[in-house]
Amino acid sequence: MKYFIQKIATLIITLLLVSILAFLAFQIIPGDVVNSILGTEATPEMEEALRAELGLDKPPVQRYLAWGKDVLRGDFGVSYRYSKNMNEMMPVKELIGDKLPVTLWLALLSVGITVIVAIPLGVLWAGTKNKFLDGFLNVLTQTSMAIPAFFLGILVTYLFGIALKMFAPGAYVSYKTDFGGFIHYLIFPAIAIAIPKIGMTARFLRNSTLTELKSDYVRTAKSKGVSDTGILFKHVLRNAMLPVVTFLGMIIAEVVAGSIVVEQVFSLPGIGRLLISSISTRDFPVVEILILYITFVVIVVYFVVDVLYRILDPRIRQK
Amino acid sequence: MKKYLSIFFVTLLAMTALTGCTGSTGESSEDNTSTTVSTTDTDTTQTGTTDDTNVDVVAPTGEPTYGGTVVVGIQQDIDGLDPHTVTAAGTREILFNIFEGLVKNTANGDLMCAVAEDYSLSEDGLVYTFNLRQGVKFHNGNLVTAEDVKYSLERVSGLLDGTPLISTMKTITAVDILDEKTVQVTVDSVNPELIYSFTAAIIPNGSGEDENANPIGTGPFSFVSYTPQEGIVIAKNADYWQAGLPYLDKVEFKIITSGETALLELQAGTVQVYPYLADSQVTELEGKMQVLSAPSATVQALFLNNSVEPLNNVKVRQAIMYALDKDEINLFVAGGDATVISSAMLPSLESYYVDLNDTYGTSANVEMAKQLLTEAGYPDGFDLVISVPSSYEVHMQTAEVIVEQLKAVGINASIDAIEWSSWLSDVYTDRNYAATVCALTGDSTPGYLLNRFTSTSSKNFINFDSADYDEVYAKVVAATSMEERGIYYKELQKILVEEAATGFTLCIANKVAVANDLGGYQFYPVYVQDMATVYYVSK
Amino acid sequence: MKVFNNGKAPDRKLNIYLIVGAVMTGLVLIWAVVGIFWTPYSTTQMSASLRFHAPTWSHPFGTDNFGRDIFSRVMKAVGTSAIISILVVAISAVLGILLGAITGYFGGIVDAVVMRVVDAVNGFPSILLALVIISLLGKGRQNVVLALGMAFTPSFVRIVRGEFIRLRDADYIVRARLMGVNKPRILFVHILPNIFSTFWVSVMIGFNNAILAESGLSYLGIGVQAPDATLGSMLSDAQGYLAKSPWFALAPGLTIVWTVLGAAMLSEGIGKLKK
Repeated sequence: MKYFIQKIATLIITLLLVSILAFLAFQIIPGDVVNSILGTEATPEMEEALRAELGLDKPPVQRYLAWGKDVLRGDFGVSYRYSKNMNEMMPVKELIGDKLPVTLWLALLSVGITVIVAIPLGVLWAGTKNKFLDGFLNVLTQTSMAIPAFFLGILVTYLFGIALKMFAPGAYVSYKTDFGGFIHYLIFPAIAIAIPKIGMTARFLRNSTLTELKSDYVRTAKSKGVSDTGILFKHVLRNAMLPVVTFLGMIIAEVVAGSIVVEQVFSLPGIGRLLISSISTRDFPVVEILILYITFVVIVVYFVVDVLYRILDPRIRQK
Repeated sequence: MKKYLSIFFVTLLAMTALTGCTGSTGESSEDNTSTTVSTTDTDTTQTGTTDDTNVDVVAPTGEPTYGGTVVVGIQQDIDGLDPHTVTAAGTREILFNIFEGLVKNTANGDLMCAVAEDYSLSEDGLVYTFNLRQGVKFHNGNLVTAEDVKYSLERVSGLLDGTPLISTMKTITAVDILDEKTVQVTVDSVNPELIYSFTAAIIPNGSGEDENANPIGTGPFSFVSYTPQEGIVIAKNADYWQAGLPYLDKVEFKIITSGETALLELQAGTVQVYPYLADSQVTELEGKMQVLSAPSATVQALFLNNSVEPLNNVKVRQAIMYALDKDEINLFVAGGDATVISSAMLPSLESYYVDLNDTYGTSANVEMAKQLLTEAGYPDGFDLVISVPSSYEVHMQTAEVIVEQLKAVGINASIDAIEWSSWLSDVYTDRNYAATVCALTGDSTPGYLLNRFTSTSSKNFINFDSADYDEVYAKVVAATSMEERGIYYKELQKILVEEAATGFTLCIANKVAVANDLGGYQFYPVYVQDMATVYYVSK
Repeated sequence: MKVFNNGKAPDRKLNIYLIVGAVMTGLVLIWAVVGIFWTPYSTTQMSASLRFHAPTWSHPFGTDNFGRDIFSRVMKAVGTSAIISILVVAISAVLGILLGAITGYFGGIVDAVVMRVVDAVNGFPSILLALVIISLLGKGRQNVVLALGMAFTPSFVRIVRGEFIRLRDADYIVRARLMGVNKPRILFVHILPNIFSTFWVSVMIGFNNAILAESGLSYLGIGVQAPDATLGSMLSDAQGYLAKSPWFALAPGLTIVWTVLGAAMLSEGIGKLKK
């Protein structure tokens, strides 16, 4: 119980820290939303009027506190840049809520593909005696990690989209109109995200399995006559999965936080793209909430990883 | 139908006349007289400024048909739906389909009457009288009334709440309803270019304050939905006052920020129209679909901050002018399709443009440049940082070419790529830079790009300070006819070039990819994506 | 059934990874080092008549949109990218080991504080982080290195910390503690060498990611400034001309793959050598 309270306290502290950091960042980087909105049509009077309208003329500390108070009350404010209709700006909640399913489904699919392919691959690899298979997997996984993300995205697009005609590039269907079509389209960006992750995870699993195989308890078990398969599945994998779980956690956090480049290449209206465009237009309310969301996801995922660590590793559980 | 399709325009020269839209005799717009051009003539498959087209266009053959959906790729999200407050050119060009003013822009750079049927201007140039067109309906089905017009004009001019939404319209002192179809607008100073501002959208009375209102206008398309980062959908306005328009049932403006994705989508057929093609995209699409081209409304330049060392020395600036090889820039960044310019006037505004390319030549003159640098006291050149907004590929490439050209005359230039928001604040607003490559967007008002170079203008981000220029500009303001203004506009351009205020380079061609079975796409000298005249050809 | 071989190197006689890795990396290194001093053509000189030339004997990788020799530019760029990435990994790995060792081994308040900061930095989008650092310190290679180094540190901290937590209660460490071995020695002599097999993988992945992240920054225009090139900025320049002149993108793209693959093979070979 104390453990959970501690975790929640750290979550809150981290979120606070991040929100201040993001706010400071926006004070430091040149250009603000007023420049961004008015563009080259700006006159000093217009700038001043808009700044006053958005409340940007108040001192920074006061602005931060006002914003923080609203957020605590559950009011995330409205976007500076995106309007909902003729007179209303888009509430941040709605804006992000609209994009979130895209990123979450993409994350689910890509992590799913990664786990389904990488875990068996890693075990197979660790267990293989075939030199050529070992070498082949080695080169294959390393190559998969060496291709730049957008290059990989374009390759996937050309292969599955243009050559095999398995999907129409850019013909993204919203999950609201056609869920099946939405998932069908998402599979291909998910593959682009998964390819390097599969390589990383399989390598990680293989290495940690080999490390475990060298440890004392394996030797002991072997000398006691336990079968190789028994050792592998009963003892080794369980320990070997530990670093892999951390690693998978990082991957999940990364993907759920938005795959900026892949979302860009496949024209997916997800979190990553929203973040980039909001940073460049200096849409502070959106950026701030997005960063808090990303931090939240990262911390919660790591927390889950931590719990898993405890369950999987009796040495930690006993402490 | 034909008589409705023959639309009348106020030509720039006709502006000296006292009435608009119908010439000076006041006949209704149905009469087919005067020096006007029809841009919505459906008999020509490829209308608009095709005389400027220098890319071979395979015009689709076949009759226009009604119906169908077109997806238009756009490069940035829109910044709002309120036609009076949006500022981004990329938004305005879409809203053109939803909203109309009393008058509206035409493809040849002139104006035609829209919500107004005609208008007249008093002798002293201070009172505009608009006769409203009968039977124009808003998208909500209501007829446009004089009240709606009064409200809209008062909203943009600041009479409603003291904040003018369109700065040129703050000269309006009163909007009076004379009768249910006549509105009179009084201004406090003569401005022959003010009529262009009456393109401001007419919206329903009170709708600006209506928190939950959807965008409602009188344009050929009505608003359907907007999803941030995805796009905006508009549908045919069946009650549109121009009979026969629009052809399409639905238009989707889809946001595609990556050029590579845009290419894929065009080739896959999921996007039918994609404007502002980059040079690299043109080469990939040519032969596969129609690539239309016309001069754009932007002037690109190597802008020089006239108040920093050593650019405050006119000889240094002139040396840079000689060092620039504009033909080479044109070739490298625009495939040779741009128009080389030397001043801040759109070449498409022919009555006001003066070709001054001979002053420094369009190719490099290294000898002259070096000689001027020596005279200025910089025989070994100097360091120059060129700040460039990194999101604009064409400007980045231009800067890269310019760096090499300046190197040839001994100027050690380097590129500082910055974000667009940083550019706006540091370079444009704070003027904290030495040189930058960027483009200014003009509009159909001829003086629009010239007024910013007066020494006191808040938009004078190059810190150009010339007493001569200010003096001539004062004459422009005082002039009451466009002919008179034209003379001064040409003088202003000459001063800009002689003083080497800034290194104007290109008026880049606007190239648009259009699916092979679409016709009727029109270019405008202003930022407009007019979908009303676009149609699928019959097979 | 014998499904594994006790972790013994499969082949002691012929370490193919070491050889292939060394050759691949060696070639890139020679190419890059030569590129610093000499390139067959100028890397910035433009030529209108040479635009978009396909590979020929005189221009083995073809020419780009400005008529510049791609071979020469890749030569120069590979050095720039490699140096940046090596420095990024060096900074983040050293910081990662220090912070990870301390937090993992000792736990407690230090762990709590450091991990909060790590979480915060981790949650912070690395692009925004890079933007902030670069707007604070100005542009230039050293700031790209610093920005990416900071962004990369958290993942190293996590991995090292995880390993230290795993090993701190291992029998031999407990024995060392009981014998009164001082703490730095336990951390860096007893534990650290034992995490290298895991850590080595992270370093290689880090190097890989550093090259890719640098390309991301160049892509946003906040990395190394034109007309200087890195592999990343060349790739993003080439992106628009993919169908017309694929060699423009393939040259820097394959160079990235080659460099990363070579380094990875080399590390694999070295790993086998140790056994």
